[in-house]
Amino acid sequence: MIAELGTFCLTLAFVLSVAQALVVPASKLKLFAGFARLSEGLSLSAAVAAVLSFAALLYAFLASDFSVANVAANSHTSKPLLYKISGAWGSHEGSMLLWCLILLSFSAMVTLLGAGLPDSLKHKVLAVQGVLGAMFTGFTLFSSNPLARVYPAPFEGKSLNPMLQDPALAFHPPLLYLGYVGFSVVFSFAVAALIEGRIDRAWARYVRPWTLLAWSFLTVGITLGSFWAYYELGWGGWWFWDPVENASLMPWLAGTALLHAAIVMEKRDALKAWTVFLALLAFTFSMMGAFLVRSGVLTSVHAFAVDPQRGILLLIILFVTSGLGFTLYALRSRALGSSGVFAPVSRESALVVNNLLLFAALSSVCLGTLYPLLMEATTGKTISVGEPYYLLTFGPIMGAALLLAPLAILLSWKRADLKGVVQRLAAAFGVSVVCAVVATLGVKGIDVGGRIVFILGLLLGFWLIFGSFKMLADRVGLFKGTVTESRRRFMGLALGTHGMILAHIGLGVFVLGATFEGHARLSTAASLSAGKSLTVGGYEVIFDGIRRYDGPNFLAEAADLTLRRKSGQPVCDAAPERRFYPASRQTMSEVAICFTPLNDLYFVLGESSLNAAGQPQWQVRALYNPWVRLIFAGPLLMALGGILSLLDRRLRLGVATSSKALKEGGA
Amino acid sequence: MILFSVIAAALSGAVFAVAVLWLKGRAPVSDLSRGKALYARFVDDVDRRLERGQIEADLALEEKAEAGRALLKAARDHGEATAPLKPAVVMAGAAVVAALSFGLYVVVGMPGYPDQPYAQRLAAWTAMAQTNPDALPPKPMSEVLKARADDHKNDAGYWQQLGRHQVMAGDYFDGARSLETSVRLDPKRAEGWSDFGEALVLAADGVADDSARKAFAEALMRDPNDISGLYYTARILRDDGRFDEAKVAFDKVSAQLPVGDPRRETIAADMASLDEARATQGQVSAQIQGMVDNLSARLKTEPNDPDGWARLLRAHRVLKDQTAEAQTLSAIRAQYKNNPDQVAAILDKAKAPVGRESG
Repeated sequence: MIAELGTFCLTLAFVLSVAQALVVPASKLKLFAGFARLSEGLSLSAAVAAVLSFAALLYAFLASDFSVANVAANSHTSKPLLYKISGAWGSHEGSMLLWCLILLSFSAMVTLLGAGLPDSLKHKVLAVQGVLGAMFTGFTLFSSNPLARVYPAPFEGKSLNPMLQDPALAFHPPLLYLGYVGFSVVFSFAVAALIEGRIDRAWARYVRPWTLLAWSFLTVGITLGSFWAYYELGWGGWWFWDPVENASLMPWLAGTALLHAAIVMEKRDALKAWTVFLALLAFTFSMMGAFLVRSGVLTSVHAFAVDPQRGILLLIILFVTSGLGFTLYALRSRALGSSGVFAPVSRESALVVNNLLLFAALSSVCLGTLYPLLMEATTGKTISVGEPYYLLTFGPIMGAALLLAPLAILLSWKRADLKGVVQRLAAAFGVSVVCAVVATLGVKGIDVGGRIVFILGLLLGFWLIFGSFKMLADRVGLFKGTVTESRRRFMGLALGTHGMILAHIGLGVFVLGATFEGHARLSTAASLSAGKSLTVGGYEVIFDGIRRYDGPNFLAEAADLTLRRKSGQPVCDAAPERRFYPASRQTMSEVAICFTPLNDLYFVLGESSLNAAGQPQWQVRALYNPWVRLIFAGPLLMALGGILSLLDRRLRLGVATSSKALKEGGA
Repeated sequence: MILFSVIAAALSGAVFAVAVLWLKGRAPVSDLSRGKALYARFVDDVDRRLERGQIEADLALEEKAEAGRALLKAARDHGEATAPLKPAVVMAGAAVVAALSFGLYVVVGMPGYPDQPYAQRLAAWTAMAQTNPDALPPKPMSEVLKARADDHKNDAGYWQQLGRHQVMAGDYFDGARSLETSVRLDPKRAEGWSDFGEALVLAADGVADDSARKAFAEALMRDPNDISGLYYTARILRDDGRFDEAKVAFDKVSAQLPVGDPRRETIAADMASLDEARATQGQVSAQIQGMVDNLSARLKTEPNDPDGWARLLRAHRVLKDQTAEAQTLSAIRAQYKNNPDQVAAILDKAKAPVGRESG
């Protein structure tokens, strides 16, 4: 009965979402006067119904109820508890319900945290959220019901793809969806404001916290996914320009541009049309990601294998929602005149250039992702767009954007003194050049062209970090007064400023890691029998032997490796594995990583064979990935910066006002 | 269905109660009042930060001015408080939503279909195994048996029964593990070894690996007339291309089976396939040898061809020519001595079964 109640709650959530969308326009009728307020209550009810429905799905997975088709297809009695839980969103159907749950929860959050919003705007936002909620819950209910039953129930489930049985991947989808779906609120704010015909600085202030929230979650979600790909797939890389990865990068880039544009709008009442355009674009790309992953147009480790019919439905949702949003934008954008005036050399101008560059980068990713699909659809030819394309297009554009960033944050609003800013940053640039050159000195085997790119990449990373520190030093008056004074100023800095500095430092840290790892990575492979060794990156890897053991739902063959420096000093023991999952009859590689503060030594165990002497030997692949830690630490710093900014009291104005404050204020 | 309807109604009521509670606790407020409250709070906050020395006086002034401007704008643009809701209309709306939801559920759901949590099903299977075991399909029976594993750790007969049921249920791998435990506990029974070997063959999609071959050899060592052992050994000999020996082994199996035994038909089909297999093997070997010669010659002149090296390595393996395989491996390592990733990729590609190569 619990599974059926789950389906009932999903229908309830669907009908409540439809009602939420309808009550706002209906309130224009006399009979339904005041009904717009109901959208608040309905958003809460719909969220509760979605929670109950998702709880029913979780129960079905935990109880291994194979009469639920989704559980039968994606779970197994022998699966560990964590993966029984994560199995709930490991399939297309379950992940759609998670999407709906997050979407309806965000609608509820608009109600709960939106006490400071004007009623008219808030209700319109909730109406648009209701439309989105109705579309997605409707799609889930009628074409992808995760609680659909099967009769007779199979005796056992087919289990979850072993590649997805991983802690990072258990948390990656929820965080990613929090990012994707978080942009729905921004989208709804944009549509609501276009309907109202009123977009001002207050609107930008309402939108920024939601953008920051979605952007921070998306940053962590993408990073977790990248980290998973790095250690689970056994390729040794962290980003493959896979179309599905790109599908998550595109809303992130749009969201990043939006964050910066919204600052200009909030401060200077400028870039209104552009900011609204980006708000519509960010969620459009989120929905496009959902379509690409679920339509069957892509073959990827990340893609759900789904029939194209569902893809067409998602495409319709994408076209209807984005189409309506952009049509409204086309009709109303001319009326969104900007009153803020600024000089060509000002922070506003720098942020405009930043936005143009981010948009160009986004376009290059979009083209590289969609062109092969369009080509195949129209001509039947299959082409592949890979890393070289992105390094030649995305790389230089983002390089220019990164070069500009430290300048932009030191420029003044309205009119700035470029010469003065350049002078203030000269020392930071000089130190960055020295650090970049010194860091590359120890890396051998790179040609002149490669070394120049290597140095430029590191220079950008150090430039972002030192440039951000320079800003911090200026703000706290470092070396201009007493330490106590600087400390007082530091404590007094708005959280938004701390967040901004931290996010830019995080970006610099990421750029350092990506550049260094990309140019200085070493790899080797050999067939080793017990007692034999190989060398990589100044380390000796000794193959001690093979060990076999039974896991909770797999059988493992683990290689015991001892890692030593060439001097003989031991570094660590590593045990890469090959696991056989009987339920799905799949064999997977489990990578072993030796962590040093900055670098990884990464091992993959391959298949066994017999050597010339007839003894068993195993293929061992070893990679030395220098500075790779920074690639994952950087985005986490960026997300932390986003969260810090989100906590800024000024951002909370008009968003998270308690009813107590309203009463105190004489409401 | 009645119980379900009652619970569904209660759930709907609870979900609506959330909305009602929220709306009751939030009396309509005009935008101007809201704006006043917000900006008063903002100005208080600016004053607090100024008092603590966290911001400069000019910034505080600027922020207050901004709040003042926003308040003036709110006073100019504000809308009136929303009209109060009519409870009767709201109640009617809630009833419509609940009725629509229930109607839709009846269309998309399976009303009356009960949950089937695994623990509950296992308990039912266990009860059935005690009362009417013959009616229980192999999979549930194997699950019932598996649940008792702790009580039968050293019981070879138990593990054999479990293994056989697992094999019958299609869980070949689990079956092989159970049967392996059985022969470990009691290695004297030929039947146990041949069951184990059979499970291994089934788990490997019909291929007898070294472990399966060893298991059948163990079975025949203990009982040279073990039918299963003899049958699988005959198949292994056929797959190895030792057709004459295979025929002798199939004859032995056939001789042991009583007249009318349906297994005789299978043996007859196997024996009929021997001649066909003999002819096919000759043709395939000749074709592959031709391909190997051409490929070897081409790779000598154009050695930078990873796909070619992978195909050559695979061909040697198919022909079971270990000497040529070792020579090709050395040649690959020499050709790509500075590119271990390429060597690994070639070795990986060479593992793909013939006909399933990619690239």
